[in-house]
Amino acid sequence: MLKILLNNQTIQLPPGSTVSDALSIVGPSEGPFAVALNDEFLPKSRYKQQSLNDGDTLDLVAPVGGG
Amino acid sequence: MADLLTLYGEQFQSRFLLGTALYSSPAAMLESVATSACDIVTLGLRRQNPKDRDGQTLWNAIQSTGKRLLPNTAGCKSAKEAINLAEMSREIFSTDWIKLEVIGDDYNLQPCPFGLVEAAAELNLRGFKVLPYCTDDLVLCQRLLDAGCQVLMPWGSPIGTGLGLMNKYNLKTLRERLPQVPLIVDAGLGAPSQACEAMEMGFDAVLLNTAVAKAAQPAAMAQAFAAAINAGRAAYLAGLMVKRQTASPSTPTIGQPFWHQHPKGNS
Repeated sequence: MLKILLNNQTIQLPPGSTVSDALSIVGPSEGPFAVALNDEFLPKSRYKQQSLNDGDTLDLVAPVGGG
Repeated sequence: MADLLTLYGEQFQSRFLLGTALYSSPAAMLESVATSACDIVTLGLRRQNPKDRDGQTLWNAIQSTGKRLLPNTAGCKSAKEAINLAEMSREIFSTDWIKLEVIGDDYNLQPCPFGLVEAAAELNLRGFKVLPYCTDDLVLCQRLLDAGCQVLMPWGSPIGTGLGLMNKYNLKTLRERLPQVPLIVDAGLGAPSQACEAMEMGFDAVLLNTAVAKAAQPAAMAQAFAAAINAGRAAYLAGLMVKRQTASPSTPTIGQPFWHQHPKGNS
């Protein structure tokens, strides 16, 4: 199993998992969101082919009120 | 002829940009957006629990306003962070517009001039329409224009303080030296009179959030700000009189009765 940090929470995934795999487990069921992998923006078009490594950090952001 | 606000080639009726944070409820935010008659609302992005329903509710509310969205990069402390968040915003909101924030100091949330210019240059290269939240420093503003920005948003005073226009000399200098650049006073305004003064000085628009969201009656305050901004703009276009040190009677003195009846010094 590989361990990644998703929004500061550790989750475990089978080796060879992709970003898409991670999102299918913990991702939003609805609404807009965007992803950064290891502090770099990851376009939606790359979720399926982007494999994850042990220790990777995934950040999911969604809209909030702002000034 | 209509007096429209032009930003990056797009025209807007309202000169009031309103933030969507800090309201007591989505309903209070929606009511304030409505009474402000604004055309543009700001919003942000944050890490959220994917199952967070509150975030979804607020997003639905913001979306329902039908206003142009101006996402920000609030909280970013480096050019790299801001660039990444801008890219995430563009994907989510399908807009090239970004309110660029790069904070240089945690105490007064002062924009970092170096990070701003670096991020602005890169984002402009990537096709963003950058509206940088900056200080009122003339040289910084010139560098941001050099980096490709077509709109600038100098602070009135630090975010959330309500202190108004802290450095009028700098703000007037910006207006005088950059007459063709849309300038939006962003942050620090606490009262409609302060927004009115900014508009009287010739600024093109005002962006604020806290003063409305934290008012006892946010929707009424939004309406008050809208009226003040309109009044200030109208006064600017009408042309303010020049201030002077000595008094000058407004009623004609010629033909005044009893003119010579009082001894000198006893009038």
